[in-house]
Amino acid sequence: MGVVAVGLSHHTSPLALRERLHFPAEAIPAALNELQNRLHGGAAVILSTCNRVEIYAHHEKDAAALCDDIRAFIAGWHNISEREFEPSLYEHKGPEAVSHLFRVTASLDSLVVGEAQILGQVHEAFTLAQEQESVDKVLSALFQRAFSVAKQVRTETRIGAGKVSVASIAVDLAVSIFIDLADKTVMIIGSGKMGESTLKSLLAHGVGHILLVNRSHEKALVLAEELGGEAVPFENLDEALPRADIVVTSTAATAPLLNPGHFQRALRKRANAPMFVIDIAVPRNVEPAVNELDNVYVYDVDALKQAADENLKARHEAIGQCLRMIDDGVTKFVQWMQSLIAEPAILSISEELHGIRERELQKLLDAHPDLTGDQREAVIQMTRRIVNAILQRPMSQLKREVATEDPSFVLQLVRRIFGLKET
Amino acid sequence: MTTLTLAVLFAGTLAFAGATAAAVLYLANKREAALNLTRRLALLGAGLFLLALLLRGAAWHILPMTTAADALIVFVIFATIVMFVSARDSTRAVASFYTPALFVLAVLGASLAPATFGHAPKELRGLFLAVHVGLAFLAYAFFLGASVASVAYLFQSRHLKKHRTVGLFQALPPLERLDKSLYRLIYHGYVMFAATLLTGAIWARVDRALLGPHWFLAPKVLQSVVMFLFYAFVFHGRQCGLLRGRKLAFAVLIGFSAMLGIYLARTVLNLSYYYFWEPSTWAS
Repeated sequence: MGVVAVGLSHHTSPLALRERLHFPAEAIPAALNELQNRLHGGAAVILSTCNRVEIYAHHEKDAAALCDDIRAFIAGWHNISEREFEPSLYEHKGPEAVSHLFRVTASLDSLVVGEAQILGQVHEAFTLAQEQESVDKVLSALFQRAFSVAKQVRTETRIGAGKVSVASIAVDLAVSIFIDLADKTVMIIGSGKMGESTLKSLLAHGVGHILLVNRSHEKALVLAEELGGEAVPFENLDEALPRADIVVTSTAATAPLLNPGHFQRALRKRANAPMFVIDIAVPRNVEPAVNELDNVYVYDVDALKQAADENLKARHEAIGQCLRMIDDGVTKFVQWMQSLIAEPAILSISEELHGIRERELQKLLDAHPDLTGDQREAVIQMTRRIVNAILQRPMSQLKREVATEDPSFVLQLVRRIFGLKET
Repeated sequence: MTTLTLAVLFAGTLAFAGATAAAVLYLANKREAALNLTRRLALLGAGLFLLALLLRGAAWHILPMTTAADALIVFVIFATIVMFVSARDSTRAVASFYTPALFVLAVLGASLAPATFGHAPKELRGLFLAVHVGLAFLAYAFFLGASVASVAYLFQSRHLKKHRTVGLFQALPPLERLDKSLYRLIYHGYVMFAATLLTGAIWARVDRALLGPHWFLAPKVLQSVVMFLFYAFVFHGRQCGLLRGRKLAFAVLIGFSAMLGIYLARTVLNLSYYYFWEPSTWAS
């Protein structure tokens, strides 16, 4: 089968090498043209992300020769010696190439297993290749099948369940406590980078109101202006705390700022409505004992890391199930490709039978010149439908047979039966 | 007819057993298909229980609400309805917590049925009985729903506290949603139970000959009043924020367990709640 995947990824190469071999999106159309010129036809898709550079190609020529051409193209395009990247390069041929694409698209080969971004990136790469008319029937079917398997993997397994970055975990936890963030208030204490990115992530998920607390009230005012929140003087922290449903702390304080007393007072004023506390500071800004209080849920850096690790573990546990789906998809695709071998024979049989039909039809029409135009058209359509109906079942079966049995034997037999010429 | 009714009842119990098995499967692997099966089998079980109830009513020309078996059957039907109403959309995964409770109640109902289905009380008929007892079971069904929501709340809360946020945790609704669902269930149960006491009092006034002058001293009535006061405390405690979160969930669970425990102990020990419901008033 002339489908290959040639490339390198975060598994096999350092970032510096991937940077040198990267294809920027704007350069890909020209690169695809150049590649097709080098291959003298065929079809190709270039997938270039920060974690991988891969070329998927389909050609009538031998797979090994195709890989050689692609390797030479990469070296030539980037003006780099093949020796420099060859040790990091992998070459998958036939079913292995299909399986590799399916694993990549389903995010099993990603740096963070289960991340959703790769599906979009593969989709973009395929769309770009389609726009350049550098995909053929086989590559098109291959990528469509890859998207379908990836969708099945994401919806039927836990591969994408749970987030793995601090900001996204914080959002996930917030929505596992609160129904809707739109009517919730988040208080951010301090101005650490992590705290800010967590806040931005919460804002992106529609959190309703922001309270900004900083030892430097000016800083809080600037940030409040930027994010559309309300700056609260540090000395008013105790009074403002009951208003917060979510508290994010990221100050450089060396001793805890908030203790159980602060939260007990806040809870009383809030009628014990739950509070979610994200303490990203090291050392911690919130005393661990606060998590012992009813209706307060505290997540410090270790707890967030634990959540990330558990999510990753759950994702890895789902890999076996995903691989089974991928194997199934690969088998179906390989069978479909095998069935393509039967296409010339099917075309010949169809032409043969329709030839007979047309000859007989002509005789009939000549014998009945009194038929009106509508009647003649009706007879033509009827004979066409009969031949197509007769052909449908044996042709489907023929496709199945060549996909599962020895294709040369099956095709030879069919040719003998229908008296077709050898090709 | 009795044999047919019992057969339908046991088929219903089997459906609840299947629903529970599917729920366990769902709790283990979080497959949506298992949850769908749980809900469908629970619906089938409730349908069969309703059919059994109709057959019993048709055979004995009574409102089948008075024996322990009848009561449990009605309870299971109402509880299944409450499950479908309260555990839907984003809270549908909570159904997996319901079905084990429904199964236990179904088994109890089906086990008690053979001993009582050959008999029927000749008294206790009429509209007031239907309204009073129907409201009572509806209230109990809401309280059962609140208990199930409490279990789900405690599960979620504990996992959040322990920072274990994978597995079933991700399939269950947010804490705030469970808290609201719990509050609504208590509210509806509380209102229904208040109406139950009211219709009971009216029934006692209307049918003085049946219930006697000291009906309000019957253990069942006293227990119901205590229960009403308990749920009044729980409901208003939640409203003012005194009882919220885990405290509320524990209170609901303790209250319902006590109520169910007393009822089952009374049934198993065959103790009469109403001195006016002596065996002599039962016709064979």
